[in-house]
Amino acid sequence: MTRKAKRLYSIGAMLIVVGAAAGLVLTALSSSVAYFQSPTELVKNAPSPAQRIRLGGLIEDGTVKRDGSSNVTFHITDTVDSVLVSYTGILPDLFREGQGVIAEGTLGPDRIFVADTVLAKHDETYMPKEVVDDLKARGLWEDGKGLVKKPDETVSVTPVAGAGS
Amino acid sequence: MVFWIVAAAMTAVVTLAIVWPLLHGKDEAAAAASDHDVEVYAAQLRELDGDLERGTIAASEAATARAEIGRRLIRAAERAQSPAPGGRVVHSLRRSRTLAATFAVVVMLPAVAFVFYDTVGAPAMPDQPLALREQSQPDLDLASLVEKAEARLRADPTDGSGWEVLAPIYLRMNRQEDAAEAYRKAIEINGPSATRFGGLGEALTEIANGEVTDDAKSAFERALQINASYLPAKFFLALDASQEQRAADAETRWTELISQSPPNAPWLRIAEAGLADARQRLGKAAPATTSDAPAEAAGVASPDSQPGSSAGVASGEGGFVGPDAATVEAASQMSAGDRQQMIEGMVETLAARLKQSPDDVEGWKRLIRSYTVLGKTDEAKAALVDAQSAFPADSAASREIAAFAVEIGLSTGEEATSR
Amino acid sequence: MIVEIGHFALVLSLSVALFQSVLPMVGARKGDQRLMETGTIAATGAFVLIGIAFAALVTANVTSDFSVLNVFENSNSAKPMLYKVTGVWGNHEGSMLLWVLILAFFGSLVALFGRDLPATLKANVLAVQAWILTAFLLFILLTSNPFQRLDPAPMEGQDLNPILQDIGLAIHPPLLYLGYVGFSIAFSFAIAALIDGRIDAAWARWVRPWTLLAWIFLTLGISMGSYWAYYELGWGGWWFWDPVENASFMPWLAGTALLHSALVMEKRSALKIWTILLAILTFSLSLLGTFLVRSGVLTSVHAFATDPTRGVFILAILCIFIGGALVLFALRASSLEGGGLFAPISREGALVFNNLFLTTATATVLVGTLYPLVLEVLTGEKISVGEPFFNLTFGPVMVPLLFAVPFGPLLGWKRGDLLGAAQRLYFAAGCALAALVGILAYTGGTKVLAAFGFALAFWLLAGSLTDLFSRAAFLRTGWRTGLSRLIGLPRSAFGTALAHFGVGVTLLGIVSVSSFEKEVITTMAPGASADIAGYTLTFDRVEQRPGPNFEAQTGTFSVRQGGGELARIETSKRFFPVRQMTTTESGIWTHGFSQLYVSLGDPSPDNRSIVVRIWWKPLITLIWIGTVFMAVGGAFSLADRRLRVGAPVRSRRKAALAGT
Repeated sequence: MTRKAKRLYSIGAMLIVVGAAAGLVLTALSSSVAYFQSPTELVKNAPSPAQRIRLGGLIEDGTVKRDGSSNVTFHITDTVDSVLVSYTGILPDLFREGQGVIAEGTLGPDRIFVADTVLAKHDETYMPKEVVDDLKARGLWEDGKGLVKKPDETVSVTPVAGAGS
Repeated sequence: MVFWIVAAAMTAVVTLAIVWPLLHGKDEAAAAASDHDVEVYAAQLRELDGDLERGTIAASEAATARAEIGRRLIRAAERAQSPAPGGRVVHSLRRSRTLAATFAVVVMLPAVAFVFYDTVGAPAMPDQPLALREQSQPDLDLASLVEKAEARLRADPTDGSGWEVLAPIYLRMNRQEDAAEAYRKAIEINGPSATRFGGLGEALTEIANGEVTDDAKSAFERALQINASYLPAKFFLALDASQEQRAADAETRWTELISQSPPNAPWLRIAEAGLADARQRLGKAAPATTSDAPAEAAGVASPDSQPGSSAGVASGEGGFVGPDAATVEAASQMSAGDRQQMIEGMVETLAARLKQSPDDVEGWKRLIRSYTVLGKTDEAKAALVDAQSAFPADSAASREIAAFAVEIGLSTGEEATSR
Repeated sequence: MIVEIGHFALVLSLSVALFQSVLPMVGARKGDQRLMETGTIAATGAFVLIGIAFAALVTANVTSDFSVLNVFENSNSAKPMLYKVTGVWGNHEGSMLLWVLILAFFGSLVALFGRDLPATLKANVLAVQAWILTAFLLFILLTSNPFQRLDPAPMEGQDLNPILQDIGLAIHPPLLYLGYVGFSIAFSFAIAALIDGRIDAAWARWVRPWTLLAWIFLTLGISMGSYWAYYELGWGGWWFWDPVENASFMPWLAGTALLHSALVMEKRSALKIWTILLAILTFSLSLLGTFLVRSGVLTSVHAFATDPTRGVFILAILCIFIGGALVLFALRASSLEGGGLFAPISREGALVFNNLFLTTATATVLVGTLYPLVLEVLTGEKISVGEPFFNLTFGPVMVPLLFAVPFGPLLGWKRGDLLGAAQRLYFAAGCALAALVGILAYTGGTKVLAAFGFALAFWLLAGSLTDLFSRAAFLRTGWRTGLSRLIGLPRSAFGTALAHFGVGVTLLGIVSVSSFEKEVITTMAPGASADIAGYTLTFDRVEQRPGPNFEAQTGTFSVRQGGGELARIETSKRFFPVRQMTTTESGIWTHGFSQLYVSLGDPSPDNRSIVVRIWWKPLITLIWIGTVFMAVGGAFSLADRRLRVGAPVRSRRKAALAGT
């Protein structure tokens, strides 16, 4: 084999490896990433049960119910709409009513969101960034003030002061 | 000042250290990098030989490796012999560059440091480790706080809340007259309240060296009218009953106080001692007590001592240093150790006061009594000796103290009478 | 005064670093020995000054000086002394100070041990180090000054984030930083070579030990962080593909590639340009790691600073250093001398294979970590990339690499004998086959993937030791000669074998846990029992216990197997009143290499029972034990006389003469 042919072969082999990896990355990005949605979006879009969703919002006051075993249900709200979430397992230490939270999982056909992961940050002033951004975008949140209550809203939520930003 | 000296010294050391090689460094030109390469390759060859000797590399592999390193070595050696591009730098140019660099370091290095520090630092601010602040701060704070408050009240004497804030502080600072005045003003301006009347009563009691005077008593009664469950007032009223030897009244009052107090209330010891004393006076058995010190106190005053040997002595009974309401409240939230400390602190204050003005029979009796209640018999005896030395040997006061000591069982009758 | 002296020392070190950035480099350009000399002293001086600053901050923390904002925000008088000290780097400002302290430390090491480096190379390296130092000192002093004062000083501090009050977190950051920052040496050497326009023969010889040192620390640091997350977060997971974990993992992958390519460069003077690029990339990823953690751009369990100004500042640092380095590389790389040639089947070929796959793996992690960020900036759409993505991309890339690992050391330089290497690996192949069949039989053929995983792990375990055994030639020469030959092998051979063995150990742990882990989530009242993996856990009692700065609710479990009590597990939830936070202290019982893991959840509404989560984690400790093997392997390589840190080239001549 000539020197040039050798070089071509090795470059070809490298391209194959890199190309295969790129293919894997693209497949994985289209199939295994979770999209962030707010309760309003979730109610409106009603995605297929196969689609993984990160549902972010506030835990609605007075909705956390434990069925005596390790199953917990609660509502996640963005003060406009709210979604019933069911979760089995141990909730994070900072899971509290009125706190920001992200639940990852899928929306079942019965419109109940089945979460396999619930994240509440290990910090008392934490609001998940996605949640703050979403609330901000819809004018429900102000930097430094926290949640701004809309006059016409029916859902009551405890504001979490000084978080995010 | 010390800070600036240290900072300047640090800067000077660093500046000098950096300038040093500029002034004293070798002036030789840097060895050409190619020379260095030759050394590296030569070393690689020696390593290869070493590996071959130990047999960690195959002979054939070593041969090819040696050939390759050799080729590189030759190339590097060739390069090393060819003259360096650019030629030698003119000597004077080098000197002026060195001088410029030296000047830049000497001037700019300190300048940058000090100017930058000036914008971000706080040179005048001392360290404030917690341990140091805990020692010094409260006194300082309190004194300046009081001064500020007094100045403000002089400007506006109708500021009721100002008086109210100041009053308990006066009480704690042993300025009882001022405290009483402040409480009166607070009541006058802000209207009556249980704490205000309670505080006034306490101040009056302290002015009378622990004697609950009639004025004080009426103040406590007003406090109770306003808030029927205001425990500090109840405490002092019970104390008053003990002091006036209304044994039956004292018993009910102490019992009531004990039953209403939280289990860790700081006055419980005193209350139980008072109750035991009252019962004993009534001829009843000492009640079961919850803490050991009152039990001892009760034991000290057990029937084998001579009860009620003199009326004068008895009037000093139960005359403990009264804790003020704020302290009492604070104490109820303290831990057991802290509480003990607080009580002991009050006794210390009394002892210190007596050291300065020993001419106080009632004070001495109170101190001795307090020590026995706390279970500190040795201190009590020492206080007894101090008290007796404070008065002429045959004086009425000395006799009174001796009799008191016998009564509480601190010394035997013979000693007391054999003087 | 101590605080302000520390503050001043920090400012002074910035001033020193400014001069260190300029003078040695001017000296190197003009061939002026005196100017180049200043670099050595400035580097040492900067280290001493930053050391003084760090000591002052430690003092302020230990004495609870709440007039220092940083102490007030992160300490508390009730905090145990150990955490008062380690709390210094448990927060953003303090950890950045530690970062520059380590940076200056490495700089001073180069200054002190680099006596035999070519003078111009050393001067340039020190200057580049000083650029980084200057940038980070400015960052600290302007955006995150740990010496910011408070007047009047509060009486009590806000306490350290309770999950950071842990011995694991006390050691994790310094190790991680030693790793991150250690790569700065390789970076500075690369930039110095590019500026100089030539790569000295000593270059690779110098870069490799530093990279190795940094890599050892980074390995241990990541491992420590993983174990900390495992027992402190109470989720039972040991790796979350969390952005911050990825941030430390990417420099590790790139650093591992760098280690291997530097080897080719040292032995064969090949892959020079690639190694330079890799050195730049590795440190760039370290900087990116710092950026990802500090800016809070990505939400993560670890990000403890969420401040956009800081983010912008670090972004600027990133752009200048990474961008500048890459531009410099593009301009100068072509002028560098290329390296030797080699056949695809050779040691070099294997190392290129290694580099190809490691950098590809790094790229997949990078994409997974940054893609959500980029997508959000471009389209506003928010996604999260988690474990499924990395399992699908990172896993497949790693498999061929791991399969190839045992071949590498068995191939000769320049031209290798693949068939010969394969023949020597018969034993390893046998082990792998046995594992495959064994697992398939054990699971009844249900866990094919697990079986292949085990096979790969055993292939690695046996294959990494093959090189040592075949070189000692036990079979041909008998035990006695074999043993003496084994001892006579260079330490780097042991290093390679141990590190590769460690990879096998870690892989074994990972495969075992991910395929045979058992989990039970249930509510239990005191007295109740739960069965898991053949063990019976009885919930004995739950009680309140006071701690120094927390209240703990502690549950006690007894572990039984067939009647006899084997162990007691205590697990608790700690409540920290100052921060109003709860943390989980998971209860772990180690049995052999496996662990039983218990964590408490919330009590039931009637307060009689409590949610309990129990895991059986078979062979999980192997994951971390493997990393220790890797680090020890690295240390062996480092101890090889040819690679000893700072072993001067010149003095070796004398040693060699004395030896003969």
